[in-house]
This record gives sequence, structure tokens and C-alpha cells, in this order.
Amino acid sequence: MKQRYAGWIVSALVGAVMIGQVVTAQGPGGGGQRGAGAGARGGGPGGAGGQRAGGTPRGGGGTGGGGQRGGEPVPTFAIVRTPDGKPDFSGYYTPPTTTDIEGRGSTIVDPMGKIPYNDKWRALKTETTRSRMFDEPYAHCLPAGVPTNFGIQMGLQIVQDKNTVFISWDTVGAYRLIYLDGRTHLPAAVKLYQGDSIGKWDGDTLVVDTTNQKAGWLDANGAIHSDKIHVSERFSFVLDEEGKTNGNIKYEATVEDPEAFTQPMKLSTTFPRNNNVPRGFQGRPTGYEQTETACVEGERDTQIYPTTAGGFSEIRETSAVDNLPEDMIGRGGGGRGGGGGGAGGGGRGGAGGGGRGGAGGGGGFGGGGGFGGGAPGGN
Amino acid sequence: MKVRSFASFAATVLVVAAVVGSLAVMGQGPSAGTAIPRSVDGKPDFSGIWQVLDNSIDANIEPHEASYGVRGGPGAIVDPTDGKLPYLPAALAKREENYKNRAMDPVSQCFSPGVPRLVYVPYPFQITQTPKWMVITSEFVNNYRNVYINDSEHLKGIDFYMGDSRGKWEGDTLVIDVANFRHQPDEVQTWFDASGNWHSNKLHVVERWKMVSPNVINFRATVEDPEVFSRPWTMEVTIYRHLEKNFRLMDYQCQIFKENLVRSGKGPAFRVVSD
Amino acid sequence: MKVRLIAAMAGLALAAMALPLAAHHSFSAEYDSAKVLNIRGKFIKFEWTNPHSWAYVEVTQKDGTKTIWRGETLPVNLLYRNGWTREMTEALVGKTVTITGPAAKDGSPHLFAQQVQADGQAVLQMSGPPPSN
Repeated sequence: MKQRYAGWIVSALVGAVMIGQVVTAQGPGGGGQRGAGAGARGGGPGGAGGQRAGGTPRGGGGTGGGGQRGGEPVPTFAIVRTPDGKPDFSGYYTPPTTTDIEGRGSTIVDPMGKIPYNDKWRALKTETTRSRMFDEPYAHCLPAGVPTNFGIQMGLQIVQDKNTVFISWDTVGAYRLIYLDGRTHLPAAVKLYQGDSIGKWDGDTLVVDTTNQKAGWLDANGAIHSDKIHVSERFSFVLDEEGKTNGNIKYEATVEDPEAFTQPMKLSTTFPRNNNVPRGFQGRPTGYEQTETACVEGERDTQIYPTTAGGFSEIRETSAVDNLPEDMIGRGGGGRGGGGGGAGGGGRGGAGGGGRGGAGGGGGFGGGGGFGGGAPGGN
Repeated sequence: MKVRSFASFAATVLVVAAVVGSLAVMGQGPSAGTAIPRSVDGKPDFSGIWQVLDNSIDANIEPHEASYGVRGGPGAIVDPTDGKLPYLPAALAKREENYKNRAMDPVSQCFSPGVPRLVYVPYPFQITQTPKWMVITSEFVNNYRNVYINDSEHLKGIDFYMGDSRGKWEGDTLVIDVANFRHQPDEVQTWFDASGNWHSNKLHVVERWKMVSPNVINFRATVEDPEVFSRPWTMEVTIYRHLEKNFRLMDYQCQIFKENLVRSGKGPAFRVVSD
Repeated sequence: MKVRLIAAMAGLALAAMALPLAAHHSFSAEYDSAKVLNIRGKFIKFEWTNPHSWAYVEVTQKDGTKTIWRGETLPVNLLYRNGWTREMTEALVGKTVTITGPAAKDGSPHLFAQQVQADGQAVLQMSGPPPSN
């Protein structure tokens, strides 16, 4: 069963690329053309309002969100800056996401691919994965915490002014406010779900120190951490040899947890800038926007988590399935994932030039075409 | 002679005050001057943390007396001048029913306060402002509003608890047009206050944000809803800047408290693993 | 062109739905991927909610009684990004639909909606873009 699930994920990743091609292309080259048009208009929220250092218009389907696939040329430009000269990270990004932080595509670089748990916490983690999935913050409309947001909460937007860097995610309505005024941390006894983040500039790198965070998870698969967690992050624009950027953010983090870890854990990854305009936003000169995620109103999963997963729903003696007509009960589900992967090959041919650009972005879940979306901004 | 020297003294005082004032407002903290802070594009800069002082408004936007746990107040409605909402008859009956069931106030159920209530719930909000994009972030649960100041239109075919906000400047006033509100008959609602004053999905709000001094915002909202009210009405609240050192938004993850209350017979709904 | 798009989408339907599964961490805790259903009945309503939207279908059971099954789908923002609107889901109300997906482990009438089809009509991919008709 686990192997079939893994196969499903592989097909999903293949499918993601294909979906992107079909979704963002209205016809051959459609996606790319639309993007370019929107970029020229320059109305998007991605703009920092007249502070651009000029140069190439950004965005449009053609950039594919960061050029990590296949080495296609990506427009680069001088770093856009805020009025006080700092790099302006405002815009949309789609970090690669993964359910299991120790699984395929792990962003942990030290120790490589593995959380440096001590024996006690490794056992607690295993138990959580096995029988306490109900405790996952997402199921309760809670934000995932730092740095977990980046690894599992899908696309994000950043809006930055002189006082704060505001980051918000596609899921749960989770947000972070990073305070830039050189303040001190909260008293140690106070813990927040997203911790207390204080940022300062080291040249063109934003260095963020996060303490006072509640116990939580490092991923969506039971990798728990304690409330002693302390995270130090570095955000900077990815630069080429000429000092120009494609708008992607280079992200590095050091996670310490003296209660759960034997050593600090280092993460390293890139957040591709999202310049795709998804289907629902095409035709709007200002392109993609992150929309409201009022999670609390619609959260119902907690009611059906069975007790075996730490929830409160007792498994019924007579399942509702037993009362269904025979023809409504299918066979196993695993093989279908393979079908999806197969169709992906066919999809590629039909997409056309614009579609190819659209699919280029990011890695892992959500990074690829269809579900991404970025304000094309302006020049 | 005396008059002239006094005049020049006064002029000097005014010049010094203006300089001190503008130096003060360039910082992020409290300001002694009268000039409001401005962004690089010359527009008023609302960046910072704000909160309404008068919590009687969130309790009831109409004039009301005190009751247990509820402060009395004149309400927030400035038009009509008697301060009462111009309900259509059937809608008024529903308001009365809501009032009887005000223990089910959506905010006390941890649901979204909606707009404009997000501005006057008893929790602070942070404004992050750039020339074309502003975010209003509330401490209450995970509610934040994106306000696009880029000549864009409302989205089509989708609706939100907090509506869809598009801003534009009229001189020094930020005018935010909010539409696309949710309210299907069997969906979670948003109320204007904790007393059952309600709206349909035809709600349309035009907010006017004006900084009248560096630490005070005069906020007005004109509300129309042809299914509920016989005419548009306007409310006004005063919002104050938080000046405490190191003030920040904290958590208020209401839904966890609610889960724990609901399940208190069975133990906490959300466990944190510890030894 | 249109036909090819839909045919391509039909094959991609499950790959498309598999995307949120990969990030739907708790999927295996809630749903049994070995017990896939094809429930069929009258579409009652669609709730546009986060973190997941829900499709309600009135199903006639083996014993002739009716019961409501709920299918968990993508969240609001993903649906909208894929071009779905309130109008489209409202147009489904009253139609006979088939929802395919794994059943809830606790035995309640829930399933994870991988696919929704409206009988007698072009295939509707609740998890992907709507057909362009």
C-alpha cells in the first residue's frame, strides 16, 4: 500500500508538469503571450511602486518561475529595492513542498536528509506518524510554524514595508510578521504558533531570528519539535555573475532544538518566483492574486479522524459503505495513479510554446504550472 | 517694534516645530509633530499597529445601554442621524432573532468578523503598506485583507467572508471598495457586531481611511445592502496607533480554545507531545 | 481541439487530483485508498470552503432509504485558480452525479472526491479545469 502511494506521488509530480501545460496555455503560446501583456501594464501588486531600477519587464508565462527545469533562458533584472534601499521581496513564490521533510526532495542539508533527533524524540516522532496524525496543525486550521510553513503550506505572498515583512500562505490563512525595528524578543514564557520573528539586514540578505515558538511539527508527517526550537533564517535573491536576479529567493535556515535534537539542523532551498497566471486569473491585467482562506469556517476533517489516528471518531461497526448498492463499490485505488502518469506523456505534445513556459516553475508539489500564479508586476 | 519681534519669534517657533515634527514622523514610533507620516509617493503612510479603543461598538453598532459584560455606547452610525440601522421590515425581524441567539455571534464561534467589523473587533491589526499593495492583518485568528491599490477590478465568480478590497486615493483619504461578500442561506455568516446586526451577500462597503493626526485614523464606512436595508448607511469609528514599545500582534487561535471546550469531556483535541 | 483537450483532461483527472493528495498529509489517516467508491446520486450542494470544499450527494442506499454522502475536494483558492466559479458548482445542483474516491476510515458517509462526473454530460473534473464549452 505504501509503495502504491509512492507511485501515486510520482505520477502526481509528472502530472503536475502536464497539468501546468494544459491549464496555463489557452492555445499555442497563449500563456506566454498573456503573461507578457500583463507585465507591460505593470499594475500588479508585485510592483514596489515606482522604485524599479528599470530594465526587462518581468513575468509572463515564458519565465516558468525560475528556470530550474531544463536551463531555459530566464529574464533577469537588477534587484528591485524599497525606498530605503533594501531588496524588496514583495511578490508571489512557490517553494517546493513535501509531506515528509526526510523524504524525497528533502531540504535538510545537514545532516543530509535527516532530522538529527535524539533517541527519545525519534521514537516520539515515529509514534506520532503512526497514530497521532490528528495532531497535525493543518487539521485544526493552525499555522504550521517556522520553518515548516515554507515546506508544506504551498504558495506564499510577501508584502514588505519598513516596519515588517508580511508573509502569508495559500493554506489556513497562515501568516508571519517579521519585525524589522531592532526590537527584543518576547519574554521566554510566552509562546506563539508562528514564534516571534525579528529581522535585520546583512547587506542584501534578510537575517531573521525566531524564538518563542510553540511545540509543533516540522512537516506534515509527524516530525514533531519542542517549544525550545530556535530558528535562524537567511533570505536573499538568487544572483547571476552580473549581480542580476531572476526574482527567486535563496533560503537557508538553521534549526536548533536542544530538547529534541543532537545537533542543529540546516535547511537550504530556493523559492521560485511565481510568474504564472493561472486559468482563473487570465484576462485580468493585474494577474494572479492570493485569495482568502477562511479555514475555520470550513474545517470538518477533525470530525472524521478516527481514534486510530488520534482523533475522536470511533470506527463504526457498520460502515456507511456496507449500505451502498454493490455497483457503487469499486476495487483498489492504487493502479489509477499509474494511469495518470501515462496520460501525462500525451499531454506534452498538445501544450504548445506558451504552455512550456508555464510549467517550468519550481519543484515538487504546487511549484509547477497549473496551481501557481504570480503578479506579473511591471517595469 | 514689539509686534515685529514677536512675529518673527512666532515664525521661528513655527519653523522649528515643523522641522521637529517632520523629523519625528520619519521614525516609526510616537510622533510629537502634527504632520502625518508619508510614504515615498507622498501618500499617508498607515504602516503600523492600530486598534479601536471603544469596544462598545463591536458589542453593538447601534445606540445601546450597558448589560452584563457589555459596555453601553452611542453606537457608530452617523447616518441616519438617529443612529439606527434602516432595516427593511423582514430583515429587522431577522435581526431580532439574531439578537435572541447572540450567543452564536460568529466571532464568538471563531469565524471571520467580516468587513468592516475586522477593524473594530477588540484585537489590534497591523497595516503593511506599499504604494500598490496593502495588507491589513488582524490578531484575531488568521484573518488578513489584501487591499490592491492598482486600478484593478473585483474578482468575478467567487466570494469571501471579508470581501474583495480595491483601494484608491482621493487626496489624503484611502477609499477602499469592498464587494464579493459571502452569505448563502445555509452558510456561516458574518455580523456587523455581537448583537445580530447582519447582511446578505449583496453587501457592498465603501471604506474611507483618513489619518487625522499621526496616531489617529478617522474611519468611515458607507454600507449598502438592498436585500436588508432600505437605504445606504454610514458608520464612523476612531482608530488609534499602538505606541507601546515593542508592541506586536500576538496569537489568537480561537478555534483551538473552542475545540478544547467542546471536547473537554474527552480530553484536549490538540495534544502537544511532551515527556 | 476542444475534444482533444477534454480527452487529455480525462486521462489527467487522477493525476490532477493526486496533487493535493501529496500535500494532504493526513489523507492516509482519514481515508482508505484500498476502498474506492463510485457513489451516485442527486447533487445537493457544493460548499466553497477551506481547507477543503465539500460536494453533497443524496444517495439511494441498498435498503432504499436515502442518505447524504459528502465528498471532500480541493480548497476554494485552488478551485478558483483552475477556473471554477460559484456559478458552475451551483449549476450542478439537482443533476445526477457520480463521485469517485476512497471512503473514510471511520465508516461515516464521507469520501475523498477524486473525480465528479455529471451523467449524460461531458466529464467534469472537479479537481482540474472545467471543460471549455
